[in-house]
Amino acid sequence: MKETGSKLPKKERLLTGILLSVTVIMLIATMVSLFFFRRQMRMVNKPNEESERIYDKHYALIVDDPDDPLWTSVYSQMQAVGDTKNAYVELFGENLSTTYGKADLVRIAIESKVDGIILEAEESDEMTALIYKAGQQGIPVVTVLHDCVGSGRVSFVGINNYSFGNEYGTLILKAATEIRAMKESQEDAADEVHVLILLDGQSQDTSQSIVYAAVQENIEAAGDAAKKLVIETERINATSVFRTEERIRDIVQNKESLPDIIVCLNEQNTASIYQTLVDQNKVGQIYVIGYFDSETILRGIERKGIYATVTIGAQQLGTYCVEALDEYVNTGYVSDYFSVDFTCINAENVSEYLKKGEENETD
Amino acid sequence: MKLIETFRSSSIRVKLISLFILTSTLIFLVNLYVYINLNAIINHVDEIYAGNVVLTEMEETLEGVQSAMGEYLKTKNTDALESYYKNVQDFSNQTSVLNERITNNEEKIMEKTIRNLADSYLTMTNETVQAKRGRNIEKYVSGYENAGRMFRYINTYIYSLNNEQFKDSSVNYNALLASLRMSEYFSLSILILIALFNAFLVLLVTRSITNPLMELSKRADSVAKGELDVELIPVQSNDEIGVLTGAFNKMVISLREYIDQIRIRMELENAMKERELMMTTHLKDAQLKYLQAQINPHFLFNTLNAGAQLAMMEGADRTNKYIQNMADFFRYNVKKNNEQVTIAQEIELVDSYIYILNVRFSGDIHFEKELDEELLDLNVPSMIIQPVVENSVNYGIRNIDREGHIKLSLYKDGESACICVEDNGVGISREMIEKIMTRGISTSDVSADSNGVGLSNVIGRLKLFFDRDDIFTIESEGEDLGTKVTMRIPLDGPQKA
Repeated sequence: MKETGSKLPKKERLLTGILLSVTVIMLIATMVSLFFFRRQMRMVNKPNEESERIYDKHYALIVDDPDDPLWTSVYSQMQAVGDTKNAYVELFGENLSTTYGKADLVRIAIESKVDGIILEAEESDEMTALIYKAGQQGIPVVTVLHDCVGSGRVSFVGINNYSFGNEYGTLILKAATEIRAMKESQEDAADEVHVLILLDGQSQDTSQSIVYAAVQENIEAAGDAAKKLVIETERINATSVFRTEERIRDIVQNKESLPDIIVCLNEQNTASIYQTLVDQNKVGQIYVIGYFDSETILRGIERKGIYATVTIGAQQLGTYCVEALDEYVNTGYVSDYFSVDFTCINAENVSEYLKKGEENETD
Repeated sequence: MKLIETFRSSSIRVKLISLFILTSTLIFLVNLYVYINLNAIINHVDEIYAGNVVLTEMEETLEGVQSAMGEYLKTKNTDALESYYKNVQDFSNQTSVLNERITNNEEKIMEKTIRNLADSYLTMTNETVQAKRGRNIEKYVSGYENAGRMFRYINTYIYSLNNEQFKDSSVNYNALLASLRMSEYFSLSILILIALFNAFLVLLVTRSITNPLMELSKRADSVAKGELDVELIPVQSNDEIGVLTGAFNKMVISLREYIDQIRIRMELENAMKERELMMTTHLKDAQLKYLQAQINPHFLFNTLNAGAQLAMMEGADRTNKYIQNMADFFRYNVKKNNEQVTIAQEIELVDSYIYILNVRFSGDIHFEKELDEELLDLNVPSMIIQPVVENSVNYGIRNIDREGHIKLSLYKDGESACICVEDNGVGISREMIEKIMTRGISTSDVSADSNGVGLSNVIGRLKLFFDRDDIFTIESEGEDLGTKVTMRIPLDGPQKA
């Protein structure tokens, strides 16, 4: 009797156990699905609620070409710095269906009563007036890379164009020496080295002229080495979006005698030249001295398609801008000028920068 | 677990009802869950495009403000002014719901920009309208221009925001569709799970009802076959089956107890019978010892022998023979009372007895023998034939007027030797036979005429000796038709237990 007594409840216990576990599993499944479903619904309704943050200040960043890799990295740095200062930096006009010019964007920024403007300015009357108007309405303007002197902007963050030009001059001389050595070994009759400096035809500010002047000064100071250098400039009028690219192709394709050295003062030109050389199979025939450290350019240096590039510290640039603006907003005073460092990247140190880039990507 | 205990202890009706309620509730809950999800989804669909509707309305109102202002500036029309104010009111109402905080949500920051732009724009249009009223031409012309520019900015912003929201809405809509589909799968799987669970539950509960019944019927079968030692079924529930099981168990226990009682009673009865027999035996022993104590048998036999010798010397042969027979008879009685003897010895005793009686009653008894010589050596208990013959003499032929005959025969009948004593006396009634056969005649009939051994004693001893019941029969045809007593002695001797 005892045996049966323990047998049956055992069986029943097992069944009860199964029943209970099935119930529990079902309960859990229901809970999980319910939770999952609710979460899904919440996400549908308010996608960024969790990451949404409220700020005290709203700063507008207005630049010529928001898609320029330089500005992309500067902007992300600005956001990071802004976060620490409880300020939201907006890349103005980015989400608009119409592409507005800088002037319009500045007007919108003023009328929408932002707390500050970071502006890649230019030397023009309209811009001066707008910056002045912003100042009148209590909106401080910090100019970045390109200044607008006499507009009442509170601060300027940029490179020292003179030393920037000097750096280019040094690079040109170095490249010229290498070229001359190569020509002598090939017993080339013409031992002149042609240098072509591509300038932005639209730009009305003085920075380019200062850079150009500094380049020339630097080369002349070199004495003998400079004698056989022929420096030309080409103003590229980027009247529409894709003109620059076409113009650069023209230069490489159609010039009767190709220059030995091409100097580019912006990222887009550098990338275009490199791409054109690759397409035309002329890599190595022209020494390209570029600007900025986008990945394309770094790869170009790594593959010897670009001789060297001068880059400004995008992070430093972004940090200085936001800090300058914030300082002014908080205290009413700020330094008039912040100088951003620049570095030269060539085949010798390119691997470091590539590595850094990869690290940033994986981060 | 307590719940399970409670469930187990409830009746089948309660079990079935709760099962029904439970399964129905589960299905109901699942349906409720599905319905709530569906409802939530439908609500979300409404919400998704609500923002777009608002923005589109805003765009139209803005258009209204601008055109009404233009109309007023052109014509100074009162209707236009009214329409302007109405639109301004609507527009500021509509923009007042927009976000005004600074957040890192791109759409919200656009809302903030629109809100602030709208603010500036309305200030600007008001100033322009005021300038028109004040006929400040220069101011209202430039104001109109500026307002137009602002109008385009705001329009662009609203349009862009609308676009962004629409993009999001599409994403949301797709996500919603996906979640709808997922919800479908979830609901379906939960429904299936619940259905399985319900089936399982029903199976479990019905099993808990039918299993004990099956078990019970199995046990009942066993009990019906006489296996009373079946294991009792444990009572697992307090429901009707539990009650039935309990009753069954009780029945089995009662049966067992009853049978035990019967057995004990039978054993007791046997023991009592045995004791009775023993007592009879002891009584006999006692009587014998009493007799023995009273008479010194050797003295009696010697005396009788002396008498016999005296009779012989006096030439009284008949006296001599009589006394001789008497001596034999008593010697036998004393010696062989409890021993096994041969049938021949028993018959000798009968001869002596008849001789003595014939002397006493002047040869009234006609005694015949018909013997199968082969059977004379069979062993029987002592003192079995003489009491029967004595019985025939005392109760059969003593009081009849005609000649009394007694016939003793010994013959073989199948596996038995039959010792048969017949007389032609008064016979014996059926009731009397019954009485003798079942209980025997009490020992009180030890009389002065008897040698002390009654019929019941003979029957009892024969039965005990041969361990058979059919050994002794009494037959009588009726009154005055005589009596026949037959003893069937098994040829193979007494049964060894």
